[in-house]
Amino acid sequence: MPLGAARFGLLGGVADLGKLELIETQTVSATSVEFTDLQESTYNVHLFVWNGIEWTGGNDTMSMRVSNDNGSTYESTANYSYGVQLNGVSGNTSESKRNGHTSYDRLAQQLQNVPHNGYLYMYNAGNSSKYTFFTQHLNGSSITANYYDFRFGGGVYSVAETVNAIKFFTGTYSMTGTISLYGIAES
Amino acid sequence: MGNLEFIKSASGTSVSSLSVTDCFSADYDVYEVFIPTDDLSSTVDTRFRLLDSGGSEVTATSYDIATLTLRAGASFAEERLTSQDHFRSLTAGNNTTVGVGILLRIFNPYDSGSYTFSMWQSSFKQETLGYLEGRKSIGVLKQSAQHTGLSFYNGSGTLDSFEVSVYGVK
Repeated sequence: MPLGAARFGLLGGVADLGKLELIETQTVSATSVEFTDLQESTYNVHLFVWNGIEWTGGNDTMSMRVSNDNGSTYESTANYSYGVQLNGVSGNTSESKRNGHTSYDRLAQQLQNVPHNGYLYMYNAGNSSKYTFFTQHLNGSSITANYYDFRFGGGVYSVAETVNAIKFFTGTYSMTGTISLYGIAES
Repeated sequence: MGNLEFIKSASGTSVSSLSVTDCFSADYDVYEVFIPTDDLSSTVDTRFRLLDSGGSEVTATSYDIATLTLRAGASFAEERLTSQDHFRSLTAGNNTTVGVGILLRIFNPYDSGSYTFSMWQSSFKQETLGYLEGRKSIGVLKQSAQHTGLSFYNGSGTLDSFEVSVYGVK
């Protein structure tokens, strides 16, 4: 049962104390997927969970942009920064970083037909006086060295404004799988 | 079915430290702690300690930490510390009002028969250097004792603004 169902008391009358509340799950079958119902005035912290996201057309990457107008447009000025550590199964490690980029790119870098899974936390999206920060941890695979890895780190959209929609998109190929968005409630 | 259960939140402005008391109990083994606001009064670092069963800070030199610092504008760096009297470097240099993103996980704090382990992941603006930094850390308090809460403080100066929420993992 989706966690969000429990929120509305669908567990046979059992009181629900859960505060990880499902907002939306999207089954992806395109080069992009948008979340335009963040309910950012309700939740100060959000959680995105990737489940089996992959692309079959060729090797590709996943990027992200945010919107301040409910998804009508997505911000493409150089206000995205991140630092991510990549850890390969053969013991190799590498750094992936951007300091002022036009998107939160390389969120995932995947070989063709290799699903990836993981999570991304988002902080302060609904606070117009703060930047929107992210922390993440995903499994992946190197599209340059052909090995599996996991990657963790954090990032920021460094504009103090309300973020009310998110778009994840690939460079070229359609992706499949699901992405779920949760809000972390305090009451 | 697993889920998070909200326990309590706390906030403070211009405080030397902020304690979250009685947030650990026998009801949960694992806790998730979210910190969306952490504005320091100086460019030092955010630290924290466990609270003992009487609500006092544990200041014994029994904290070990390993940290990877991730930087958007420079090379990454490792830090390993043993026998500290606190967990350090949730953030560093974030004397700015733009917010942060910090997830802190605590394992077995209330179990008097086990050490308290922790891991945290943060994202913040390093104000002096002007770019994004993050931390990925693991830590342990090598005390087999019951701990009931957390105390956060600045390595030098005050917490100008700080918000924290604690959840139990079911």
